[in-house]
Amino acid sequence: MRSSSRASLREPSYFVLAALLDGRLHGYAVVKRVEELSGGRVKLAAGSLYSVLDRLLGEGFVIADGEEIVNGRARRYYRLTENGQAVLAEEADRLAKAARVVHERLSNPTSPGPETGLLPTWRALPA
Amino acid sequence: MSNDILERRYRTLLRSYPADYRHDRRDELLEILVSDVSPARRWPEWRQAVALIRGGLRVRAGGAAARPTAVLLWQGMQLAALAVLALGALIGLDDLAEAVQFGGLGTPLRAHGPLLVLTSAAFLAVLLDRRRLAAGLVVAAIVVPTAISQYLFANSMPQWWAPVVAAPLVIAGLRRPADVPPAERGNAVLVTLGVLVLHLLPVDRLMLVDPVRQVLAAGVVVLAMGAFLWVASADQRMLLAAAPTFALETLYRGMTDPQSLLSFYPSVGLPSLVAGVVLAAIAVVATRRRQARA
Repeated sequence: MRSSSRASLREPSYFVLAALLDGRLHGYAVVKRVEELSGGRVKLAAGSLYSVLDRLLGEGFVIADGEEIVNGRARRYYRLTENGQAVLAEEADRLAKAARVVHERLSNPTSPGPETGLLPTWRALPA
Repeated sequence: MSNDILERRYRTLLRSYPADYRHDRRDELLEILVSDVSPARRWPEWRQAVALIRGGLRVRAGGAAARPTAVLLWQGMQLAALAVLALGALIGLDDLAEAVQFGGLGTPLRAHGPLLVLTSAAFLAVLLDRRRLAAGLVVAAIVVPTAISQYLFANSMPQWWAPVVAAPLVIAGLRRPADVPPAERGNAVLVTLGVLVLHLLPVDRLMLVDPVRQVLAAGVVVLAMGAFLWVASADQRMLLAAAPTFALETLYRGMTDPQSLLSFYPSVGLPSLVAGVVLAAIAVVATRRRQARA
């Protein structure tokens, strides 16, 4: 079941959800996985990660899934929900379609441009 | 341990979060903050420090609550009432001190005293979340001083308008849902002080002929406004709290010299009205944007 009410995910939220696709992770592991998946572009500070996680928890895209004590510190794990997975897939589809618009036109310069009625590419991208 | 000092400094920064959130998440945050850090490092990373402060502000504004918009709205109203009452009390105190300086004690006390006492009492009641008492005091702050002396009412003084502007906010606060907590007291005092600083900015000095003083005043105004907006971009309750405070001067000008509302000089006329409306509009837009994207 995919949500259609949401316009788009912010980039950090997108990568946090993507990081959790492989299974549950704790906060520190999420930071590392996000950095790895984004090719080093998204480096989440601790405060920013928990801003993202709080929003995703609030939306029901992520849930807390168990806790353990490591080196005297409580470590909580987070897991993707079905709803979160659906929203992530929807966002990935949208980004792929938006990218395809550009790639097709770049590889085929004779395709109709904005002046012939096709929407400019920026209009097709997420708001 | 080599990173004990660093950890202690991060723990200090974590105090920007409310106590219950800090208790719940401290270990997780610290694990990220001190892992993979050079043993020689003594001071927090700049980006981590900024993110912690903004994170704390966001959580205080209801970012981690079950109903973030409800927390923002109801606490914003409470903080707005506090800011309006505090500004009214500050203006009243300033006028009282000036009146005592030039006219003795008796008459100024009769004209300013009751309003100052009742406005301050209403402020404390709102701060302590004694909502019924606050509603009674804010109504008394409108009626009692006006019955004792017509001076403030007849001259449409800004401090007379303070309980009038605060009354609907305080009375509406009686209907605050049970699942929305009141603003934490220490934080409410800081927000109120932040709003008062906006009104103490030397905006009128921007009109000075001396270019050095003009530039200094502009620097102070830009820095203070920048700091306020930076905080408000994480905690939109600041905008809601500040918006109605600009109504006091606008109401005073509107009743005593309506023409001044159409001019940018004196600097408290139209700019006050514009500032209040702009702050409220930014709060609404920022909240909608926050709701629109995860």
